[in-house]
Order: sequence, then structure tokens, then C-alpha cells
Amino acid sequence: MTSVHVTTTINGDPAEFLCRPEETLLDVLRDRLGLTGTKEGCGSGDCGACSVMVDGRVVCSCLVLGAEAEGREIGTIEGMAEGDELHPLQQKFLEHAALQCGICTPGFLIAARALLEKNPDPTETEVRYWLAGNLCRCTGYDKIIRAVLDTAAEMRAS
Amino acid sequence: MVKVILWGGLRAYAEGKSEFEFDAATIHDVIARLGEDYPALQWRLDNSVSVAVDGQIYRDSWFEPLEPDAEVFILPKLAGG
Amino acid sequence: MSGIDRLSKTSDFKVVGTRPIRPDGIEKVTGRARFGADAVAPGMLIGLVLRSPHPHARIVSIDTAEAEALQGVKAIVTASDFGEVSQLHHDTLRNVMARDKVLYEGHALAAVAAIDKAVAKQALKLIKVDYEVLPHVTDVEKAIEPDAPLVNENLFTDGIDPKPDKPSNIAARSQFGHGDVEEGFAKADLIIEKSFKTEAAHQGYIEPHACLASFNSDGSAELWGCTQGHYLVRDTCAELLGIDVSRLRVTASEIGGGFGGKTVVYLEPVALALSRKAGHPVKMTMSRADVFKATGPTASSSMRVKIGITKEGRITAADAELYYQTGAYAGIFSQLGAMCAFACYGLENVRSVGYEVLANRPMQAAYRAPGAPIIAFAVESIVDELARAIDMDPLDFRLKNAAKKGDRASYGPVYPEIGLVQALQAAKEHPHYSAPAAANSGRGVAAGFWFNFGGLTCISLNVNIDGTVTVSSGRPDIGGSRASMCQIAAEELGVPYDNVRAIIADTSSLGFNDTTDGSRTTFANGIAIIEAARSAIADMCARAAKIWSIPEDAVVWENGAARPSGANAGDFEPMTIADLAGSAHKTGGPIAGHHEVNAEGAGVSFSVHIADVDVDQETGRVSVSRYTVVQDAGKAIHPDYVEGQYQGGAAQGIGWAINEGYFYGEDGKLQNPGFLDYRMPVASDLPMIDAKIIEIPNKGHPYGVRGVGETAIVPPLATIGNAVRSATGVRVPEVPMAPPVVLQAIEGAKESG
Repeated sequence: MTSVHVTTTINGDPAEFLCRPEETLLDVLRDRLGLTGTKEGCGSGDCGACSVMVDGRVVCSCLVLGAEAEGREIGTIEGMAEGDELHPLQQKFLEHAALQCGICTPGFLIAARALLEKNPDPTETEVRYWLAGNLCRCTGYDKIIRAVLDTAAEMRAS
Repeated sequence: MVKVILWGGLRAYAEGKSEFEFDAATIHDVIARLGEDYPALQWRLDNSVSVAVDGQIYRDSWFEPLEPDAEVFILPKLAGG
Repeated sequence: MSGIDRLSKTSDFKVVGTRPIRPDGIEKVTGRARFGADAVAPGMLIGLVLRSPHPHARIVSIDTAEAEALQGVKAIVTASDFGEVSQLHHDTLRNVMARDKVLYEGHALAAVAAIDKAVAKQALKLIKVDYEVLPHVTDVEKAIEPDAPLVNENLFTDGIDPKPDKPSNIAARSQFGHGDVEEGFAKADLIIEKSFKTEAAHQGYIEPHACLASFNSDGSAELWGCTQGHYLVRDTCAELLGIDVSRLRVTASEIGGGFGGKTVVYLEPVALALSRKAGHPVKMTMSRADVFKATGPTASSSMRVKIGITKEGRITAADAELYYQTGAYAGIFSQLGAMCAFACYGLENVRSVGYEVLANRPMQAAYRAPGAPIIAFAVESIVDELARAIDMDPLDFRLKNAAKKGDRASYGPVYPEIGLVQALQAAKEHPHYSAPAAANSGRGVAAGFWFNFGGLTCISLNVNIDGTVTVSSGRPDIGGSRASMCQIAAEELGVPYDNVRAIIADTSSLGFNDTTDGSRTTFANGIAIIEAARSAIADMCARAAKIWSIPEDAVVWENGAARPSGANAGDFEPMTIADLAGSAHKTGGPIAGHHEVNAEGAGVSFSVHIADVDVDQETGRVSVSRYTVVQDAGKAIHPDYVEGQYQGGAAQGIGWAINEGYFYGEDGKLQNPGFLDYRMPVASDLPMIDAKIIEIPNKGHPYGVRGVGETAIVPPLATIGNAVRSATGVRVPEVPMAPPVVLQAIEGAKESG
């Protein structure tokens, strides 16, 4: 078994790990680094539960190899809050009851934050299409969309 | 006297009958009386029925008291998801 | 009339009915909440399951020698590692690990525990299985043909008198109804009869099954996993593993969706067996493909429904025959479907017959109001056609025939007070119903029914030394019920919501609790919490009475404090819950209330939906532009989460109606075991879903609560079907109404002019 040695940055901090060549970034985050906030829903890039940021892009970490993290900046749900201050999206998700079982929530938060960084004033349709890569089975999306739009409005105001 | 009705699937175990009238103070009395009169019914009464009393469904609850003129309907055991 | 009457409060709530933030929310938005696959144990092994590649085969032999010899493999189990069990668990055991025959593609027949996933995968490849492939059947209509391959050669249809002498795939026949349908049809001015087919849908929870089992050498064991019912898991696994119930401690992780599909065991007994054999903890997770192939979806169905009416629109007779394909082992869902078929209507002559049909497909599991959405599709489609035929408004037609108190339900008993008429009226008054439909779009409505349940419940409520309160409950929280539990405790005790926390206890810490299903958690937990709180209150008042040297009945509890009931009782400052808790060690010990109950008194519920759809006539694509759910909640403890249940159930029903289905090839293998081709709704598929809560108190609950989790999935199939009919003029009698199906129906109608 030949392992690959990877040096990377996760949530702003330096990190290194060994992994097999075929291991995905999702496997590495969850099983080697103990960062279980990112979830596996399908392993084939269809559900978005494993969404993370890689060099400023939202990706499905099940479609990225662990080895590809070399020299890159990875952002996971664990880095979204600043100390004990929640990101406005996290707060709005709670206020709008935009989660029921919560398994899809980390993926949605990562994806929604990326949207608002790119487009601070999205329409409802733009939000829905941006988040079309994240499956939720509990909520029917209604309260999630409201939470994102409300966050966008609040962030624009401040 | 309470009126007791069995759902269709139980009739075969009650010699084809489905409606009965007798005195019973609780659901347990109803089950005990039916099981006594029709032993073939016993296992099902113990394991695979729910009971509706005047329309209110009970899934178990032997000692639920019955009004003197109650209608007791014995249904298949219900489940949800 | 007998009936449970617990109703004690219907207004002037301080906490119940508000929308506070759920107490477990922070963990979920920060990724800290631990779900089934998030646990680890020192020295743990990874377990994987070997599954049948064939839809039907005899297992001639399994040779695990080479796999066992692979370095890093610590244990392999097959059916021979499990003893025989009682009749109750007979099918569960065989579904968990096949013996003699595999009955569907994906059926488990062996499992491996190894030091890591890579070794386990390799070991699976080294297990040699000799299969004798048998003919298979996956379609429900083919499965009932006289020469169909038999899933179980020893199965003779139950419920037919005399018992048939030939085995078949029909496990059971059930019949419900009353009156004389032939006589009823003879009185009808118009009769419509149609056949319908629906394909199976999967619950589609985003979290695959996962667990971590740890068996100790003294025969005790611990299990962590995502389940809707950890007590059920404990009791089932104890029997399958042949150990005492008290030796197995099951902790429910947070659960990433269930909807009924996680009320059964799959990996848990296997993980325990591997752990016992290997002497190490074993972690197992299911791949998404295995979730689709080997965990229970709903039934697929073939149904025929016939309804007759007078020209004024009064139903004179209704008759339904439904065949539900139930997978490799029989369930009760065709029975439930037959019971629910005409439950929305007050009828004199009604009959419904259900057939439970086996096929070489995964064993079906409950999916939100199991059995009901399927038959509702057929019945509500015909009701729609009848209303059209006599040019009557579809909601008025339903109001004219709606079941009411005193009507005999089609499933047997006479209805007590129910809320269908109110739900229909509320739908009629909803702005959606009177809004002009957009050009080229169609509008449909449908009604649905579900039973709702109570069940075995234990609650322990503890008052902490600072006067805050912890509620210990035993039903996994699948949708936000911890918020409601805290609200109910806070309301009853008169303390702030933030002073109450709720936990889900493990099986060793609290008495038995039925699973989180049947729309019962808020209802049943609520009853027990209220009783436990009242018990704690009585204790606290008694202590205050002793401190003040006044009789117990001279003390009342108000706004979180004990106070003298009046000037005559004495002039004492009230003692708050914090005061009493702080001195509890001197006045008798810790303050707590507990309540164990079989919570009966759940009320049935009705849901009425309105949908606007656009149908692209070139592609057959159906898009939903507006959707409204009107449903009775009895009393909405936390309106956000009640709305969430309505919206979520509707979304699942919409997905099932338009795009979700199991597609089998001629080879008996599932063609679409993944989220790409098993197409569930995404955010861009749906509009906002209007959730209108009406509240007709259920007397069986102190605050009037009625279960809400399931009924919302019952109407959507027909609501969408009726909207498509309205948009295109064409009735699509098949679910899913996927683009090719709709297109074919439109073109077929054009051809026949």
C-alpha cells in the first residue's frame, strides 16, 4: 500500500495527512481528520451533502481526491462560524426553521455562502438554481430559500 | 350489551360470523370472550389487531372501559411510517 | 359514547404556538451533530456486506475460506451465524441475511469485518458463492399470473376461504366495506371505472444506513446508529443475536431522514454479529446504491376503482381492487391501502379489496402513511372525473360526500368528530383556489386521510438544582420534536422555554418507547411530558406546603412558582421552581416527574391540496408553479415545524407523482439505484409551498394535538394528476407522470381524436 503525503490548509489552518491514492477528499476529511461535519449521502456527486470549498469553489468532496488537496485551501462547515459567532446564514437557518433532520444542512450552508459571496442580491429563481445541486428530503426547500433570501437582505443592509 | 364487529379477514376464524352482542366492561373482556367462543381467533386477537371503540382507535389497551352500548370494531393491526 | 377526553387547554398559551429556535439547532448548523456514520471506536473494524447479483437464486454453497485467509480480515458471517427466531422476526432475519435463497438483487448473504475498507472490499471479492439462478418476476401484474415464478413456494394466500391448494405470490387478501355495492351501482346515474398503475418510490433519506456495534466478551453489547426506533432495534437485535434485551444498549444517533424507512433493521444485527465474532467494534455504512437496491421502498401497484354517483353528485357506490407489490416478504400495506381507500367519504355502499403480492424486489418498508397515497391517487382521480362529468366544482363535490361524525368509515368503525369538512372549506376559502389560473396551466385538488397513532411512551422530567429542567425522552427526533417537547414542558411548568432542554435517552436509561413513526411523537411524548410535569408540580407544591405548614390543597402553581391559593392560606412569598430545586435536598430529595403510558386517543387527520401545473406539450414535462396544503393539526405546538411537515410531505408526494420510480430491466435488476436517475425534487423544481394549518382540537390530547407527519404525502399524487388533466385534457393513470408517460398520453389522446 503506497500512501500519498499531502500538505494543505483547512479552514485557514495548516494540515497534513497520509492517504491512499484512490481516497476521496470526503473520506480523508471524515475518516482521517475527524471532520465529520461534511456528510456522505451518495458518493457520486448527486446530492451535495459533501459540499466543501476548494480554492474558493464549491465542490462535491466525494468527487475530489484527497491527494488533490495538496497546496490548496479547503473550507468545511467546521470553519463557517467565527469562534462563537455564527455566520448570518447559520443564524437565519435556525430562525427560519430551514432544517428538520439537518443532514443536508452543512452542504446547503457551504453552497449558499458561496452564492452570496458571488451574488449578494440573488432572486428567488437564482437561489433555487444555485442550490439545485443540494438535495433536501425533509423541508421541500421552502424555508431554506426564505432563509437564504433573508440573509442576503440582511447582509446587504449591514 | 356491547356490539362487536370483526373485520372481514377474521370471519373465517369465527365460523363465518362477523357481528356479536354480549356484555363486556373492557376491551379485554371482549377479547377474552371471543377467544373463548372461537379459539381459532385467539392468536390473531393477541397479535394482529387494533380495536376501535365508537370510532376511537386503540392499538392495545386491554383495560379501556366500555360504555354499555359501545360499538367495538376489531381491525387489522395498524402501523405508520 | 366512550372516548378519551384529556383536553385541558385550547387557548391562552404562553409558549406553545410560538416559534422559538430549536434547542438542538446549533449542533446541526455547525456540523457538530453526530449522525449514524459519525462515530468511531478504538480498534474498530470496517464491515461490508456481500449482496446477491441475481434477482432470484438458490444459494448452493458459500465458501469463505479464501476471504478469511486474507490478511486484515477479522471475521466473516453468513446465515449460519444466526440462530432461528420466533415467527414475529422470521422474515426480518432472512431479509437481514439470506438463507437457502436470495430473493432480490442486493439481498445480503454474507458480511466481512476487516481492518479497513480496502481489505473488506477485497475480501468480498474472494467469497465464492455458488448460485443456482432461478426465474424471477418484478412486475406486479406478471407476479399474479398463474405461471409466474414463485418467490416462496410454500405461500398460500391468507384471507381466502377455502384456502387455495396451489401456492402463489399473493400472500394475503383483505376486504373492507359495508352495504351492497351492486345495489348501489344500480342506483347510479353515472359510473366511472378506471385502472391505474404506480411504481415504487423510495423514502429517499439523504443519510444512508449506518451503525457502530461493539460486542464485549461477557455477552454485553453497545450499538450506535441512525434509526427511528432504537428500542425496536434493541429488541429485534437481541432476539436475532440470541442475547438478553438488557445486555444490549442502543444509542440513537441524530438521524438524517427516515420517513418510515428506518423503522426496520438491516445492518445492525450484522454489525453486532461481526463484532461478536471478531472481538472488536465494527462500523458499517451502506452505499447509496445498496440503499436503493436493498432497503424498503413502497409498493408498486395495479389498481381498479369504480365509483357511481347520482346526477346531483351523491356517491351511491364505490368499489376498489388493489394489488400492491410488496417485495420479497409480505407486509400489511395492501391492507392499509384497502382500509384508507374511501376513508374521505361517507358512503352507504363501499367495498375495497387488497392483495399483497410478492416479487423479487426488496422488502417494502413504511413510507409516510404507508399504502394510503397509492390508492388515493386512483380514488381521487376518479372523483375528479366524476365532478367534471356533472360540471361540479371538485371541492363542492367532495364536500357533498365528505365523511362526517356518525358516518361509518369504509374501514369499519363509525367516525367520531373529524375535521375533513373544515379542511375542504378552508381550501375553498384559500386565496390559491380563487386565484385565476395562468394561461396554459391547470389546477387540481385532492383530499387524503391517515390514521395517526399514539403508543408506548416513557418520559422522565428532572428539575435541576438551579430550577432548569431536563426532559428525557425515548423517540429519536427526526424533524425538530425536541423544540415542541421543551415548549410543552415550559408551558406546563410556567417557566421560560430557554430553561428547558430535551434529550433522547439510550435504551438503558429510559423505559420502552415505540418508534418515531405514525405521526405520534409530539402527540404521545406531549401527553407524557404534561403528566410528568404535573406530577413534579404536585411534588413541589407539597414541599412548599410543608415549608409553610399549610395544607397541600392550599398551594397552587402559577407562572413557575408555588404560592398560597388565597389570603386565607397565609401570607407567604411565592417559592419559584429555582427556590424549591435549590432546597430539594432538604425537603425530600431530587425533584422529578415521570410518566409511562400507552398513549391512545390519537385522532385521524385529513389533508386537502391544491396544485397549479404547467405541462410542456413537446416534452411532457410537468412543472409545479403553485402548491398549497391545508391540514388539521389539532394544535400546532411549533407552527414552523408543523408547516415543515406539510411542505416536506407535499414535496415527497410531488416527486413521486412526477419523476420518482423504480425501473427494472428484463434481467430483474434495478436500473436507477442512484440520485441521478432516481430523480427526487431539487430546489429549482418546486415553488414555495403554502402550508395552511387549521386547528380542530383532538380531545385525546391535553392541548388538542393531532399527528401531522404523514397525512401530507397522501393527496399529492392525485392533486398533480388532476392538475395535469386540467392542463392537458388528458388523464394520466400512471405514476410517475414522467415526461415520456405524459407525452404518450397526450399523443394517444390526439390520435383517438
